[in-house]
Amino acid sequence: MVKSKSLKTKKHYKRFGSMGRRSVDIINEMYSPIDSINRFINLALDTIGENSQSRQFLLESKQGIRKASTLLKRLDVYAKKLEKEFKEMSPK
Amino acid sequence: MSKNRILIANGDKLSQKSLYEMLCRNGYGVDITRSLPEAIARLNETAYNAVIMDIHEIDNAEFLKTVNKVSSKSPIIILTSYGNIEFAVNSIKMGAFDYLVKPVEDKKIISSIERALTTPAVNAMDKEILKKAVPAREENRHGLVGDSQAMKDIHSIIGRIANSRATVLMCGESGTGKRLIAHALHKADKKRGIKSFIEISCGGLPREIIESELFGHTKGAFTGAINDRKGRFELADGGTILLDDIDCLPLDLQVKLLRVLQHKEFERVGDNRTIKVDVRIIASTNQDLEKAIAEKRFREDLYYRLNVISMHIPPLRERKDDICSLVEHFIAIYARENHKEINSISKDVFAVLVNYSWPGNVRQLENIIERAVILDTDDIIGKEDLPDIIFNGTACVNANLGADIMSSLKDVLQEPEKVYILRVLDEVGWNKKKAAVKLGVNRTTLYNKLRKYNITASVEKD
Repeated sequence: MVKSKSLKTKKHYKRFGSMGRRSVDIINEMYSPIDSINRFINLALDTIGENSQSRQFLLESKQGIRKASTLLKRLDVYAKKLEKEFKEMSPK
Repeated sequence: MSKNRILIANGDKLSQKSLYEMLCRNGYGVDITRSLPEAIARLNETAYNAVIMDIHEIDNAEFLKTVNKVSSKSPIIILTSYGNIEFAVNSIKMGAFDYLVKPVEDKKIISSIERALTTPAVNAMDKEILKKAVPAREENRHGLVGDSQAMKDIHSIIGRIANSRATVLMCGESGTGKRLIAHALHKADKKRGIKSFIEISCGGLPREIIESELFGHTKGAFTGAINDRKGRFELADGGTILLDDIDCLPLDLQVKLLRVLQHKEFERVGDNRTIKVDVRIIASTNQDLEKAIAEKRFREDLYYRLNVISMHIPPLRERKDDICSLVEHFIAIYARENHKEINSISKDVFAVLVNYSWPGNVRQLENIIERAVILDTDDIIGKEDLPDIIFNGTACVNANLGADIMSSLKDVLQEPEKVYILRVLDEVGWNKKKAAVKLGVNRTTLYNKLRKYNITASVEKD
């Protein structure tokens, strides 16, 4: 009875570990479009007039992208930690 | 002026497109391949100064094998979303030049490329490419082309002052290569050469913008200042700043600049905290600053502060000895870029090029050679590949020489310049922005020339 409970817990850990792994993969894939969008915003800022109203929109978009990137980085660190912890606990 | 070729290998479409646009805007020639095998095939047939390998999924074994094969040909900069230490270490061990993790700022990519371009392997490769393209290639010191006495003097000055902190004032017509010389000076500086080279055109920005561009601003300093922003001086800390068209700097900002020159300190717009920077300042102008002082448009004390080392960059018509090496240099670049094999130019074309007055200087020569290389159908550039203006311009100079033999060279060359400007303006419907692009000069220069030749609305109507 005890043995079966322990096995169930370990399976849970394994599942959580995989979820951590998947999250890391998704986060990494999201970095690529974020990187490109940021670069396109820079290009647009370079070509747009200094006094254009669109400039402000672009600057705000840039800020949004930066925020999204920071959030992803935090999530990345957390997911990697989670993945490592559950991997150590899950059955070999 | 010289275009380094970069290959973007692999990566998703969005990433490739954004990198392509950014690198093109920074003056690089860029090619794209969709996969790693395609990149290897391309590298076998074409030489690149650097390769940006955009890796979007980890496939260590195959990828690292690719790095190993490719890195002996060109330095590889890895760009990836996967910030994995083991992968980074392995890549560097296998020969990758740099490893950048997305999202990455453009300046980091540029800085990595610039470092890659200065590695001995790349320099050796560059020499080999140029040797193949043009066997009798002229010596290219400090990245500058030409061996006229004027260029030799410039090389000598760069060599002597590169490692000093001295402020440099460069004077010369538009298109003579002031920016390139400033960059060469920055690169030759052992300490600053690895840091940022920041440039700003004082003539291209309105008064309200230029102050915040130069010195930065704090959030709320003015309408639209939604964030703190570093100015160009802060960005150039430890490196070099080029203040182009310094004569266009408003008088009140000249006072602020004087303080930066004297004490290396300033305040951001809307802030009272003093910022100290260590920046080498290079100022450039195509105007007569002494005349601007006399007209009270430029501060005398600033002029003396800037004029610690003065460099005069002669116009192309005064260093015609360089035309040959410049033509060869540009042919090599654009033939490579357009995948053409061009061996030479015909003798009569060369004579036309030498006789032409080159109002747009080296920039105009570069544009004309690029055009000729693109239009050329055989391996020799002929008269049919050159624009009509080159022949008309020559005729104009010749006509002037015949008409008034007592005139100075400067006076003789002014007339064809005026005629050419008028002609281009006519051609583009007096759109000055388009005319400036076509003439290969910036808009400030065009406006100065319009003032100089008194080309006003009344002339326009005529």
